[in-house]
Amino acid sequence: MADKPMKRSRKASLVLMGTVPFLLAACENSERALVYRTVSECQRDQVLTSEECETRFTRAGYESERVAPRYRTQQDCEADFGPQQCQSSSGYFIPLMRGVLVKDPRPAPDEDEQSGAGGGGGGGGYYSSVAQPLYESRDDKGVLRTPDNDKVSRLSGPVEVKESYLQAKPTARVVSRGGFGRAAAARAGG
Amino acid sequence: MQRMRSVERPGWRQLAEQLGFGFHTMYGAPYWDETAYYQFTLAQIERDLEAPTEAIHQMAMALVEEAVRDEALLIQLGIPSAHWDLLRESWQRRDPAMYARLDLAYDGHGPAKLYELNYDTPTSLYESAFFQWVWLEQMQRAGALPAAADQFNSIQDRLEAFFAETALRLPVHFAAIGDNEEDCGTVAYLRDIATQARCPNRFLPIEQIGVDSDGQFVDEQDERIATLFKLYPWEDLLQEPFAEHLHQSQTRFIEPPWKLILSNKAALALLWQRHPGHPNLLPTYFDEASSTLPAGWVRKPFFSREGANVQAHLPDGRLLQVDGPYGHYPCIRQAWHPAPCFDGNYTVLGSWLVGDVACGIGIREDASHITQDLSRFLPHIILD
Repeated sequence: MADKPMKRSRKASLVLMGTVPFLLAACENSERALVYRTVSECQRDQVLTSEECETRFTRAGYESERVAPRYRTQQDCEADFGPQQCQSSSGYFIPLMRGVLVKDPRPAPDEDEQSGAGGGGGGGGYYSSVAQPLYESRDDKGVLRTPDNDKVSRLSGPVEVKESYLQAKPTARVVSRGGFGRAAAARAGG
Repeated sequence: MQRMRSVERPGWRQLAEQLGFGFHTMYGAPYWDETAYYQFTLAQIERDLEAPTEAIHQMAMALVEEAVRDEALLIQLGIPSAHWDLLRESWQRRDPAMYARLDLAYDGHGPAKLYELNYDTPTSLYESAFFQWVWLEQMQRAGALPAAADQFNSIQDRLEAFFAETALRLPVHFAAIGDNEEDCGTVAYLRDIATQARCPNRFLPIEQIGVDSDGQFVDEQDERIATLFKLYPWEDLLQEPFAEHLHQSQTRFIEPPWKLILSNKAALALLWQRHPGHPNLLPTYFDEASSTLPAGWVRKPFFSREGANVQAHLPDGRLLQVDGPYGHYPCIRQAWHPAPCFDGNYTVLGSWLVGDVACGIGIREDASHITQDLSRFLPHIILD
């Protein structure tokens, strides 16, 4: 049986306000999303329009400057992300964005048959225009990860992710050397 | 609709302060009050509040459409002719309008009645959209409220969609009076949502807005302001020195200038003229402030906030009056319709719109008949 639609927001979250970032979700849903490494890969897939692909990557690029892990030195950053994999950004060093995670705008297969109203109205389309930057750790090459170092996918195309992966992150704080690669290294080893 | 006594969450004040809700207590009196909550049925929410809110909104939009084309109406609304083009252009360009709050009288029975429209600078957003949501979630997790309980409150979702999907000129500057804690809290909350929608934004104390040599509005770094969210009423902006620069300004405003038409209580009289007998409207007329107010009527200045300068002549002959700074404005006269009373508290319901969608309510209680700045905010649930 389908869940009764709620009359309230799916989450209440704060990323800037107050003294602590805050997220409460009414229920931890998974979300259908798409992973792309490049604009042209996104355009070839033809799920999003050519222009949408460009704006998603542009927006994710800006977002990356806000949420990417920050390092005080290039060496520290490269220790986690590899040689030539870092750039400077407002006085810090951050890893290069290696891909984006965007919401899959297509209605889920089981929503299709219920009603034609689904896709456009209500919850269907919202924050569809945002994109999360993804990174690749030196210790786990080929695997794209969120700014929180959560593993997303090795392959481009459709993925199922936790809803929170698509939500905005608190503005990044400076990390010290080795603060990012460890979990990746541990998982790669397991 | 029932008022239910409830036990406060332990430590909610500390949580409020961590989450930027410093104004949970104001002037030494509680503002956020979770010693009780209101419970609605889904039918009451959808039939009596959600649908009428959107119906009133459609009437209001039709009134704006009419007013921007009819100078006689703009005169009746007391809007100086120097600003007519500003209003008209912002309406005809369809400048993005974000939100509004309708104040309704509703006791669970019969049609909700519209007291007032707040289309320009509606207050109580944070507590309606965010803190009341957190309250329900935590009460459910603690087992103090059933898991089936819901809330009429998708305000934050809708605002996030607004910032994610509206074609705004970027970045958005958020301006408020720099030393007003409540207003700065509201602006901090909106900036937070904009950030979550990946909409680049900055805070700007409204006193710091400048004008450059081309007559364009600039921020503290002398950068042009593309879009200005201003938590500051249009009727005040238009009376201040920089108003002369509005006409050639490239800045887009949220809310847009045409909202002046609806933040003006004359709109209530015009709505009644156009829809006499509408079940959700109260009889309302233009009024002479100098005349004697007959029993059974309330007199309100065109522009007034938090109940200031409102005068009520109750059917039983009693007079209620709130002083304030708005005495120089012309007035309307609205039929006396008492706020419903629950356990000795007078309740006014704020019904929120984001864009054209009704998406939540917030409830304020007062010990007096006229809602003022010192009223308390109570959460609500939906439970059948």
